[in-house]
Amino acid sequence: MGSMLRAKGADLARVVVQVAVLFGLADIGGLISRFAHLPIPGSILGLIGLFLLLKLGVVKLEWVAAGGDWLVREMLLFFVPSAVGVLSYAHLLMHQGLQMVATVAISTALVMWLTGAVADGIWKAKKHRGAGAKTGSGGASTC
Amino acid sequence: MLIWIGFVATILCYWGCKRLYQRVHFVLFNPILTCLVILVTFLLCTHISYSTYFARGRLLTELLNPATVALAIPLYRHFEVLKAHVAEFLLSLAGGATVAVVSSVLLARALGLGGQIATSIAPRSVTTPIAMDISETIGGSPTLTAVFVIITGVTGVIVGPLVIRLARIESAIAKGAMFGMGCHGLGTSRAFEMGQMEGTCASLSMVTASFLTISIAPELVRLLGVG
Repeated sequence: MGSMLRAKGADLARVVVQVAVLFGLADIGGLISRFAHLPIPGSILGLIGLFLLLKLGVVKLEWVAAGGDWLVREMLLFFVPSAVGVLSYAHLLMHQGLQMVATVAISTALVMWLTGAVADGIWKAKKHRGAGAKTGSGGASTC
Repeated sequence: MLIWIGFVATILCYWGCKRLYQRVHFVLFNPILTCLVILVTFLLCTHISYSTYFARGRLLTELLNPATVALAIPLYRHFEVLKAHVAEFLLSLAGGATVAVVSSVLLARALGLGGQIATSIAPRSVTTPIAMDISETIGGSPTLTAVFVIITGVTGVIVGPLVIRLARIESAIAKGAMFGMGCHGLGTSRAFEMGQMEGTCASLSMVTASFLTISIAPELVRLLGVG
């Protein structure tokens, strides 16, 4: 029991430290974005930076995986406070909310349909060609 | 004390809504929608202003930054697979980014939404800070754009599964691409629910869609004659 609690504590500490590291990377990205006057926010620069650091072997996956996986898993929660912000636009939504939501919903459905259909179409064409050319080696395209 | 109520309510509400969604896997029970409805009702009933609520709610919003950085991890894990599907991503996202801007502006106009609104809606399909930046550049209202970004996220996670079914989308690549392109980070977190590969593809698509939209939105908006 005691050792289990200790293990839990160690897990939690690892997640906290790793989240702090990821915060740091986002902040460094933010500084670069500000100083270089880039139209890219710090978090996206941090994402690209972390990817390169992992790829180059400077950062090991274990150093960030526990915290990173937790953040990605609970990402929805971090959107909630900004989403509640629509409350500040209650006045505008009361008047034109229906048109606004309809515009966004129809346009988003169109975007998703086109993006999905094009990507899926190419994927299927490739799979088809791959299956026709060399049967049995389609393992890589099962995803 | 009062300023912490909204913060605690948000976490409890998120936890409860997530539980409910795991039990009853119905699209309209998506936690972002249920949380939104419950918390807005809660704030209205308790007369807590949004600025009071957001004074502590901001702490959660701040976590979006490290969470976005963390999307590098699945990209690193699945890089080899992603590399094999560059054509799928580039073509579908180029199309998606164009349709996002054009259809938003045209539909807004068709439904009688005024100039400032039509301009602010154009960059709505990318992540908030980028969308707000683009909005500034093209003469929209960044804060109004932020509202459109949120509406995009909430409607996207709801219509997405429907589109998958109607268009018979099969591959994880395509499912990820449509969520990352169509509804940014919220879509990406929804895609991770479907699977690691879907989520990873959505992460890549979200980032790529941002770059594409930054490069094409100002020109498209100019061609459409708004702003």
